[in-house]
Amino acid sequence: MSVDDLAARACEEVQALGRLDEACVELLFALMWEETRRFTVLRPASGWDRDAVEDLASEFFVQRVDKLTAEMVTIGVTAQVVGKVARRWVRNFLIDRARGTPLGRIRRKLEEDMLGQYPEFLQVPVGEEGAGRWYLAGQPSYPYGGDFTPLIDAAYAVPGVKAIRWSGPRHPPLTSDASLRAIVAAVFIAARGSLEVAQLVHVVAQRFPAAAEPEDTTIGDDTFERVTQVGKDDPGFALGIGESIREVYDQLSPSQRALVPYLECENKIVMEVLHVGRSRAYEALKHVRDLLDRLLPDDDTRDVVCAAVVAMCGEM
Amino acid sequence: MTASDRLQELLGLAHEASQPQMTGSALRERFGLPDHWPLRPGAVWRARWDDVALLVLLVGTPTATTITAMPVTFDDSGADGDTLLVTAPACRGVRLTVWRTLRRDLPLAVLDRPVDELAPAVIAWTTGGPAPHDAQIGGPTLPSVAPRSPVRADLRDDLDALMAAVPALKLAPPRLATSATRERVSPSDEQLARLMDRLGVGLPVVLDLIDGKRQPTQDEAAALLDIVGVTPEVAPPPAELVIEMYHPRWKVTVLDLAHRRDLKEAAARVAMANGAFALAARQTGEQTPDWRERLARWADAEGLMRS
Repeated sequence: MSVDDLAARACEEVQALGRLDEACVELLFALMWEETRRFTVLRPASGWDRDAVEDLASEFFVQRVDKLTAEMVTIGVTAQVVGKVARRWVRNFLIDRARGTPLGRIRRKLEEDMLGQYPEFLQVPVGEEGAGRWYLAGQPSYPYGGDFTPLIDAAYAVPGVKAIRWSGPRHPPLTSDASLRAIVAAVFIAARGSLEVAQLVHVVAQRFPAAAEPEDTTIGDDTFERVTQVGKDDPGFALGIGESIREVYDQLSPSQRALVPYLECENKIVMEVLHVGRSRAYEALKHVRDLLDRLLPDDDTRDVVCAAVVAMCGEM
Repeated sequence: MTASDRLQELLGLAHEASQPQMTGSALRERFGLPDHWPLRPGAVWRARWDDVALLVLLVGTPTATTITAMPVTFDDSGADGDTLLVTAPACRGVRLTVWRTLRRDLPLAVLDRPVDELAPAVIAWTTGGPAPHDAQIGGPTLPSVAPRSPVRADLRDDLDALMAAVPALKLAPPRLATSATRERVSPSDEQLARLMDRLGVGLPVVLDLIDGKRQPTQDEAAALLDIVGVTPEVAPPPAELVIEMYHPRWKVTVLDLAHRRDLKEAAARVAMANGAFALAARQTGEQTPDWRERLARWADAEGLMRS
C-alpha cells in the first residue's frame, strides 16, 4: 500500500478514534523507511535493513506518541495533512538524532578525555551549590548563569588552534587534545564559575561549528561518498595557500560541501535539491554561508580561498 | 520480539495516548454553535487551507477580515527563549509550545474550529510579560547562532501559505446595482429561447446569466458567446457579502461545498459567494440584504452543512 493510501486510512482512524491505530503505525514505519535514506550520519555500519528501520520507528513512537497523537487528532483533517504532518514528525525526530550524534561525541570527548583526565578540571562536590558541575582549579566554583557569548569568544581567543580534517566519513573534526584542553581552561576562566557539561558542549560546538551539523540529513549516500573523496590525495594542498583552502574545505561536512555550489542559486533550486520547504532551504543555505564566513581566512587571501573552495565543492 | 508483538505493544501505547475529546465531533459538542465560538484572545483554533493545517493562538481581537495569531504546536523541537511550553487544559496533560516570534495577521477565513482556550497570563507573555507560573520557557536564548529549528521553519512556510490563502474576491462598492451590467446585453426573445433550449434551463436561470448575477460555467459561457455574441460581465459580490464570508462560521459550509463539487476551497468560496449573491439579487428589491441570512438560506437550499 502506498504512503498516500496509508495516510488516507490513518486520517480516518485519527478522526474516528481520537488516537493512532494500525494504519498510523504502518504509515510511520513506511515514512521512517523512506526518510532514513536521507540521513547518512545515522546509517548503521551494516546498512539500513527492515529491523534497523523498525527499531528506529518504534523508538520514535515510544518517545513521541503522546504529542503526535494530540497533533494528529487536532489538525489531521485530510489525508494530505496527515501524510505531511507525519513525515515532518519523522524527519524532525531523525534530525534530532543526527544532531545528537556529533554533539554526543563532543560530550564524550569532553567527559572522557578532558574533564576526567586532567587535574586542573575539578567537579563541584555534593552538598555544595552547583554540585556536579565542573570548574577550573583556582577559579570560583559558583554556578555560571550568564550569557554564552563571552565564553565562545574566549574559546576563539585561544591561539594556535588547528581544526582537524574529517577523519572518515562520519567523524566530525574538533582539534588536538592539547588545543581542546587550553580551550576548556580558557572557557572556565571566562566564566569565573562552574559549568554544566551541556553548557561546555554548547560552547565547544560553537567554537567548531563544523563539528555539529545537521545538514548531513539532506544528501544521499552516493553524494556523501563522492564528496568525501574530492581533493583527498591532491598534493597541491601542501603548498602555500593550498593549506588555507584545505583547512576550510576539511572543516566542511560532506553535506555542506554538497551545498556550496548552490550558494548563489535561487531558493527554489535548493528546495528541489534538499526536498524541503522554502524556509528550511533558506536556512540551510544561510547556515553554510555563515559557516564559510567564519572559516575563511581574514586576510587578503580570503577571496581566492573562497573561490577555490567553491570550485572544489563543485567538482563532485 | 516478533513483528506482531511489536505492533501490539505500539498499539497499546497508542490507546493510552488517545485524545477522544479532541476529535471533530467532540469539539462540536464542546463549543456548540458557531455564533458561540470564542473568537477572542486566548482561544486556540485549528487554521486550515487546502493541505495546510496548524493550531494558532489568537492574541488579538478580530477585524472584519483578519485576526492576529501565533502558531502553537505539540512538537517542541527547537523551542528556545521565545517559546513557551504550556499545558493545554483540554489535551490531557500534553503540552503546547507557543511560538511568539511568529506572530501574524491571518485572514479570518482560515480559522476552522476552536480547539481549546489558554489563560490570559499566556497572552500577557506573548507581548513581553513574565512566563506564567505553571508554564515553562522552551529553552535558552542562544547568542551568536540563529536557532535553526525545523519546526519553526515549517511553521513559517505554513503561515505564509495561510496569509496568501484567501482569494481576493473582487470587492464591489456597496449596493452596486445589478442593472449596471444588465443593460450591457439585450438579447432578443429568439435568442433567449435558443439559450433556454441549448442549456436546458428556464427563463429565470438564463436571465441571471444575462444579467451577470453569477459566474457562468464553461458551457454556459460558450452558449452565451455563440448565441448572444458576448459573455456578460459578472457583477462581483458586494463587500458586505465578502466580509461576512470571512467569518469562521462559514468554513464548514465552504468545505462541504468544496468536497461535494470537488473544488479547491478558493473556488468553493467564489461559488458560494456568487450563489448567495444571485439568490439575493432575485429576491431583494432595493433593500440591503442580510447577507448572513442569505448565505444560510442558500446553503440550506443546496443541502450544505452549517456547523
